[in-house]
Amino acid sequence: MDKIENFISDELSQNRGQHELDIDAVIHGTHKRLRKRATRRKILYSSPIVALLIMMVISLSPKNDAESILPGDELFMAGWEHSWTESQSVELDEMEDSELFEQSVDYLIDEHFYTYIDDAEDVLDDEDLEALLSYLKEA
Amino acid sequence: MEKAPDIELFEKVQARDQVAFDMLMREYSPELNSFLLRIVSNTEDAQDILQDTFVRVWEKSHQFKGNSSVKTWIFRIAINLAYSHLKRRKRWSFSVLDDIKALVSGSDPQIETEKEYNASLLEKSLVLLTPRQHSVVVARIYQDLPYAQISEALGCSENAAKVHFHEGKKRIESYIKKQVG
Repeated sequence: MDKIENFISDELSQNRGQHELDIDAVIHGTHKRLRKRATRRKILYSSPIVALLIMMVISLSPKNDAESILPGDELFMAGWEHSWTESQSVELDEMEDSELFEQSVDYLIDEHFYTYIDDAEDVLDDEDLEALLSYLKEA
Repeated sequence: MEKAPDIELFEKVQARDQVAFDMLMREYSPELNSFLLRIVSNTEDAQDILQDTFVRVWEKSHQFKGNSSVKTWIFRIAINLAYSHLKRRKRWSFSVLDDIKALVSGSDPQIETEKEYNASLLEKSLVLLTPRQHSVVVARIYQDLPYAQISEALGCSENAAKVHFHEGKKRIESYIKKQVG
């Protein structure tokens, strides 16, 4: 570490302004948020309009193709929150202005919640689509 | 070979064991909170992001593939959230608020103790960084996270993370030089 890195490290390591962390409150707050998100999802997934929109998306997506992946754009068409990451091949000097968009496409298959966050490859694949479709049919 | 205790604990979390999840939160909360405080410089925001981090950990635990340690994986989520928070926050408003606070209280960093002055110097220099530079500098220097992990968390290449680190450091250095004279 050079002089400036040492300075930054020393200053960051100071305990100034730190309040006692109430871990119980953090745990309680986290569970509360999880419950809230689960309730919101239940409402969302039990909505017939949303189910209809998802069916529309599924019917628009390519079928029986091993390579087929439901792209974010199509999810967006169905009213899902859609986002993307910047391209890693972007020029470095352009990166200052480029944005990393928050990625959060949430979907539920059976009892499990899946959230598309990091990997574009992780968006619904054929197997997921099939499971989602059968879930929706049952619903 | 025996598994690391945090891997064992995390496997329980992956199996939806809420007691294990609570234990995980107890284990990582202090360090995570301290780390987040360094990035967002605000207790309430840090605790808000801390809870969001654990929400993501619970919901995405199945995505953990063991390519890094559990701790690094959790910190990656935290950096990503803190970075998003920094981007949302209007950073200029903080410097304006600081100026107003200084005017109202009559305090002047120049006449505060050396310790406080240094703290204020770093804080003000960090405000000059872009959200990404800020996140990389704190993650690298305070948390000693490898560039590979930082770049994954921020969605950029490893080289870009290095560039952000050096640019950030340069900005801090030049601000300090200007202030110290």
